[in-house]
Order: sequence, then structure tokens, then C-alpha cells
Amino acid sequence: MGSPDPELIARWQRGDRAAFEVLVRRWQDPVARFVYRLVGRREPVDDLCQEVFLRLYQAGPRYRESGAFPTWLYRIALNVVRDSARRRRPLSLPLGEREVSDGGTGADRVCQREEVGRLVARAVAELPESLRLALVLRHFECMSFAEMARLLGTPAGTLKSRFAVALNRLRDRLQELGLGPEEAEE
Amino acid sequence: MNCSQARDRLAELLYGELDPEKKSLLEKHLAECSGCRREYRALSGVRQLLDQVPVPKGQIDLSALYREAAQRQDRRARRWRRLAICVSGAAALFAFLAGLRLETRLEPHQVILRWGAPPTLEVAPTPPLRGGDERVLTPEGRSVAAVEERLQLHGKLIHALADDIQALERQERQDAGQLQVRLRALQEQNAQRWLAINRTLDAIYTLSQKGE
Repeated sequence: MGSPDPELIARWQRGDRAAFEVLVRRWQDPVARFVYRLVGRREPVDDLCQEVFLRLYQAGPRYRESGAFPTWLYRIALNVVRDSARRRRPLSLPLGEREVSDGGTGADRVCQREEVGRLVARAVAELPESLRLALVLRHFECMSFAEMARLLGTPAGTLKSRFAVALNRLRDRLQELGLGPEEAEE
Repeated sequence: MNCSQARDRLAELLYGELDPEKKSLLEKHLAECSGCRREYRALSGVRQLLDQVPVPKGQIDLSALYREAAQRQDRRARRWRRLAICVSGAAALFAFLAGLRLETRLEPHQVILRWGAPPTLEVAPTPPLRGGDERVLTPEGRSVAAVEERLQLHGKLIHALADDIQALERQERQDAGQLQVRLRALQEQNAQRWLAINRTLDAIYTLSQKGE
């Protein structure tokens, strides 16, 4: 366990570039996961993450110890994803990818599992942004609804309702794609 | 608890968000209701599918990040410089036009473009103020002072003319008096001469009468 985030930020704000690099190494995977779960595709993730940390680097001198660093970082990531979504329309799933082949054994099953994971990621990315955020932050980032409320500036009760709606919509969408509970149990 | 209330809380149950009391009520309902149980199983399956979403690794290229940050800094500085130049140019142009007192006006059948002070009525050059009396005045103040000075001058001229006229009248009255005196003297002289002539005539007539 290295230095805590606030200490690293303080050192970075005093001009210690190494402290910034420690922060990047610590947070690059969580940010990549968060971004991927919001956009649903692997290809743009590296560029978007690069942009997130670039904005973090530029905004560093303005950071104040008023809120948690992860909340601030996730807000930057969310803005980057939103900006990117404004520049390009989200694509629906190509027809060819909607069919999941019946799994065989060994490598086939690994491939099938990866394929299922990619389809689920894309189905999540198809959800409206408000529902997608509630789902991603609660399920993947394991945030409490109170933390989500702080990050998004939305009441926790509203986020709970959105989360339930998101799960139900995702269930319907996954069933359309042939991914019922039996796929999950494999 | 009915089915509608139960289904609203299935997601919370799935993610452990319910307090113990609500949780036991919901579990009791699920034990009795096959439809809600099926629904709960479906949501549970969605949760398991979500866990199959791949976990990508982040790869931040720090040298590219620093390079890009420097380039953006440069671009921002250039933008500010350009903006500063534009603002200074606009301010200089404005100052120049203000100095020029440029005025554009649209009037029926004509566009007026004028610079400099607005034209004033032509006035005859006025004699300079007496030495030491000169003050620093605005153009408007200067023209008012000139008008006042000219009015004073005209007043003085009028008074002088009136004095001249009065003097001439006095002179004329004096001349008329002298002429009257002279006329009276001539009249008396004539009357005396007339008397002398009459006397002479009377004498001649008397003599002629005597001579006859």
C-alpha cells in the first residue's frame, strides 16, 4: 500500500511529477473499466482513458481537498465519455453479433464466455445514460447510492428506482439476444 | 406485501440494500409466490451475466500525455495572444475613430459621413480680447464670448451714434436761433429802410406838388 491519494495530490501540486505518475498507475485500471462499461466497446477505451488523465493533469492545480479524489476522477471520466458520445451516435448491436453459438467445451466455452461478456457490455451501453450510470456505478463500481448521489448530484431514491429499471430493461434486452438465465448459469 | 411491492424491491434484495425487516417480508413473499420467484431468478441471472463483462486494463502513455498537455497549453496561450491582439486592435481603432470624431448618419436620400468637430455658423473675426483677459475656453464657450463681446460693441456704437445725433440736434437748434435773430434784425433793417424810402417818396411827392 503506497501513499494515500490526498498526499500524492499534495505532492503533485507542489510539482512532484512522480506523485502524479503513481496516481495514474493506481487509477488507470479502474478508470478503464469504468469507461469500458459506459461505452460498451473496447476500441475507444485507451484513447478515452488517455483523455481522462490528460484532463486530470490539467485540472490538478485546481483540485481542492473538498471531496474524495475518486469521485472527482470519475466525474472527469464521465464528462469525457459524454463528450465522446456527443461526437458520435451510439451504434446498436450488429445483427451478426446477436446470435450466441451453442458452446462446446474447453477453448470454445472460453470464447463463448468472452463473447457473452462483450454482448452484455454492449447491451449495457445501449441503455439510456441515466439508467446506464446507475447500473454501472452500483454493480461494477460497487458504490453505495449515497456515493452515487454525491457523484451525479441526483437524489439516492431516484438512483435506486433507476437502478431497478435498468436491471429490468437489461433483462429484457438480454432475453432478446438469447441470453437468458441459463447462459448465466453456465 | 403484494406482488407489485415485491417486484419494486427485488433489485434491492439482490444487491443487499434492504433492511432486515423488509428483507424478511420480501423473502416470505418469494417463498409463497412463484411468479415473483421467477422474476427474482431472472434478475439474478442478469447479475451473473454482468459479471461476465470483460475487465480491460488501462494503458496510459505518460510521455504522450505530457506532450499533449504541453501542446494544449501552447494552443491555449496562442489563442489568448490572438485574442489580446484582436482586443488591442479593436481598442486602437476605437480610439482612432473617437479622436477623428467619426460620425455616420442615415438621412432621407443621403448618407452622412463626417469627421472632426460639427460645422458651426461662419462668424466675422472678432477683435481679440484685451491682453491678460484671455481664458482657456471650449469652442462653444469661445463662440458665446465672441457673440457677447460683439453685442457690447454694437451697444457702444449705438450709444455713440445717439450722442452724435443729440449733438447735431443741439447744433441745429443753435444755428436756427442765430438765424432767427439775424432775420429779425434784417426785418427791422428793412422796415427802417422802407420807412426811409416812404419818407423820401413823400418828400419827392411834396416837392413835385409844390413844383406844379
